[in-house]
Parts: sequence; structure tokens; C-alpha cells
Amino acid sequence: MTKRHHYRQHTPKLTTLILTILLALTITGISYTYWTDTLNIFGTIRTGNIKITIDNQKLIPDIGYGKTPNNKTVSVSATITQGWEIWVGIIIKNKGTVPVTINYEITTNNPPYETYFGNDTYFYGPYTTTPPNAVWDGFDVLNPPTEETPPIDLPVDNILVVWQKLWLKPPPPEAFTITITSEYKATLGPWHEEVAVMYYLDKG
Amino acid sequence: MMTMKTRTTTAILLTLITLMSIGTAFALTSNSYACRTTCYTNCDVIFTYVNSYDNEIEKDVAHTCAWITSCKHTIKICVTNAYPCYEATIDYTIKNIGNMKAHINKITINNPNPEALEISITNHECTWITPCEKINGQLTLHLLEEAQQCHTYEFEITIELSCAELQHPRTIGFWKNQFSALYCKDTAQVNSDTLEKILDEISTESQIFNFTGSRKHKFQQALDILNPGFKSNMKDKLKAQLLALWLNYKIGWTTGYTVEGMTAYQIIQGSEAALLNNQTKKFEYWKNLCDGFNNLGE
Repeated sequence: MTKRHHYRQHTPKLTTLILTILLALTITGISYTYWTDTLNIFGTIRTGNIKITIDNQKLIPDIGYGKTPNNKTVSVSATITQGWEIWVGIIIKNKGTVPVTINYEITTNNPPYETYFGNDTYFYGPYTTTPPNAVWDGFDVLNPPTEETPPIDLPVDNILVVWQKLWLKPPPPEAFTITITSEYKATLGPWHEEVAVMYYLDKG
Repeated sequence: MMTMKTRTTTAILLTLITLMSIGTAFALTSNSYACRTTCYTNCDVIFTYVNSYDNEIEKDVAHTCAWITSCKHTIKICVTNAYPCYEATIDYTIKNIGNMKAHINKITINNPNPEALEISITNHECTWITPCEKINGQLTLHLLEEAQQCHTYEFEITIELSCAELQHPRTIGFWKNQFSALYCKDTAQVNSDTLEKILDEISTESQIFNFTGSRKHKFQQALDILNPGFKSNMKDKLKAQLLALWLNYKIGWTTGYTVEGMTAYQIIQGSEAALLNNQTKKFEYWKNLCDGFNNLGE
């Protein structure tokens, strides 16, 4: 018997075997799909953000100010003498995507001299549009309108008007320098962001 | 030179290989493909309902939406403008639209940011869903304090199911054969260990039946009850049908079935109450109900 003959004789058996195996595998694959199922839940959660800025500012008397490009800090520099006082008004706007609560804190870099200064801070708002004349353009420093008490809720796109009076109490001490920081903090849970008015004061 | 026969064989082989590859590929990538294309047969479990809401009362800051995709096998959830302490709840309903009972094997929650996002879902694991049955679940998403601003968090939940042929209740004759197999050296469909375990459970839970002694004794006691004899009274006939129903109930073959609006367990309770209180006039009524239930598969 030649090799060719031998091969031909076994071909049908081999073919049947292969066909059977393939058929079994096919049935197994299909059965698997028929006997199982899967359900899925896909979720995407996008978080918002906090952003407050100082949109406008006013000084009475207008002695000039500096402002950072990101509208986060207004700086006032002055050489002060007895009887000195200043009113600084700012408009804080909530430009984030979530509502925030505004609070404030005054700190200095020279605690022994803190007691020589007095301050009053007035909050007005929140407002959805331009603030009323009485609290901004026509603000009367001698007779300020009734203010809100912080913490104050500031919804998205709303504004808050803050006026702060800072003065030197008599009698003033000898020469000194002090930096007073009025920080306005917006919070939502653990998220927070701040804007500030910084007073760089020098008593000659 | 290739003969005609060789060419034909090669062609068949190639066709089979191609078909097998396609089948396997579907099985591996989308194991519910077959179910989706044959919605009213086999193993097919889908979402039928979804609703979302959140914990915001006064302000509407974040927004949650959830929807079932067209294939009905997926729920997509989208939360926007979320913030720490925001909590969204998603209620959903799963329905078995196949004709096999489906078992929820495993629920996998893939949450890459557990420090920022807390996910909890109703534990459906080891739950059977009979054909046409619906089960409700709830998914809760809770953003934690570690959540960052302007960030995207993603998660995936997979519910794996497997299906089994819906078993139906069996008749007294079937159960007699199972217990007789111990003597006849025949091959029983329910093995002896299982049968004994079921009898022990029935002894614990039933107020009528109590099987004691060796396995052989217990099986003989069961056979005696299942074989009330030609001239037996209605009480014995009721006990025979009741035991068969107990056996069907304990092995799990009554799930999803009712007779006259009553489940197997309700009929068992009714029958036992009638026997315990010797309500002879009701024996036939309960016997017929048990009989009807045990013959549901016929």
C-alpha cells in the first residue's frame, strides 16, 4: 500500500472527527450565549466648581488702588496720620457653577498694632443684576443702609456688595507699618475660594 | 490534483470554522447577544424602569438623569455639576422576559475613585427571577468630601446572570420513583442525599410530617405516605398529595407557580391547618389543590 493510498483511506474518518469537534465547539459557544445574560449600569459624574471674583471696587476717598489680573485681590497703599479713615467698596460675583456661602475675616501681619485700628464692614445683597443705587453708586458713608449679616448665601451669577470702613484710632502710636488683609471666603462643603482687600499702611 | 470530494470537505470545514469563530466572538464580547435577538425565548433579563432623584431640597444645583438604552440591557447615568455631599438615587426595575428562570450570580462595582465617590446598590446576588417576574433595586451615588472640582468620575456596575430551565412541580408518581430507587438500584433523578435532606427539612418545618430513623426508614415512611392505598380515606389522600407538594416546594420546583392564586406554601399551610384542626369537610378541597399543583408540569 502506498503512502498516498494510506492517506486517502483515513481521510473520511479524520474529516468526520474534525467535523464533530467543530460542531461541538460551535454548539458550546452558542449555548453559552443562550444561558447567560449581563446587565450593565454606566455612570458619569461631572463636578462643578467654585469661582468668585471682585468685579468692581470703589474707594472713598479715591486714593488709588491696585488689582491683580485675576480679579482676586485689591490692594490699597497709604501713608496714614491721625484721623485717617477710608471706605473701600467691592462687588463680589459668584462666577462658579455652584452656590457658595460668603464669610470674612480680617488679619494683620503686625498684631501689636491691630488695636489701633477700627473697622466696620457692611454686606448688601445678593443681587441678580446691578446693585441698587443706595448701596453702590449713591452709597452714603455718613448714613449706610441696613446691612446683611454674614454668612451670606451667594447663588451662581449673583453679586454681593461689601463696604468696609477702616480707620486709625486716636492717639496713634509712633512710626510703624502694617498690612491688614480683609479676606472674603466662599465655601461649599470642603471646597473654598477667597478674594481679598489688602491695606499696606505706613505711619510716618 | 484535488478531487471534488476534497474540495467539498474543505469548503464545509471552512464554513464551520467561520461560523464557530463568529459564534465564539459573540459569546466572548457580548454574551447576551443571543438573548437580545430572541427576546421571548431563553435567557433574557432586561431593565424595564428607571427613575432618578437627589437630595437637593431648596436649591437645584446638580442634575441627575438616568435612562435605559435601546437594547434594554444597560442603564446610563449622567450627573452634572455635582459637589461634595450631593447624593443621587436611581430606582430601577429588572424583568425576566425569557422563559427560563434567571439567577443573579454576581454584582460587580467598578469604582476607580472610592475616595471621592461612594456607590451602593441593592444586593440582588443569589436572587432568582422567574419568567415575567420583576424585581426592584436602588442605586445610590454619594459624592464625598475628597471630590475635586471640575472633575469627571466614572463607574460601571455589572450584573451577571445565568439561566436555568424552569423546573415544574412533579407528581406523586415521580416522588414515589425517587424513594423506590433506593431499593430497586434504579437511577433516581434526585439523589438520595438530597432526598434525605429534604425530608429532614420537612420534619423541622411541617406540623404533620416527621421522618425519623435511618435513611432507609425515612424513605420507607415517605413511601408509605405517598402510597395511601386503594381504599384509603380522604385524609390519607390529602397527606399523600401534601407530602408531594412539600417535596416540590423544598426542592424549589414550585417557584413562580400558583393554583387558584395561591402559592405552594400557602396551599401547604392551608392543608396542614385543615389536618391539624381535623376539618374533614375541607380535606378534599385541599387535596385537590395539592394535586392540581403537583400536576402543573403534566
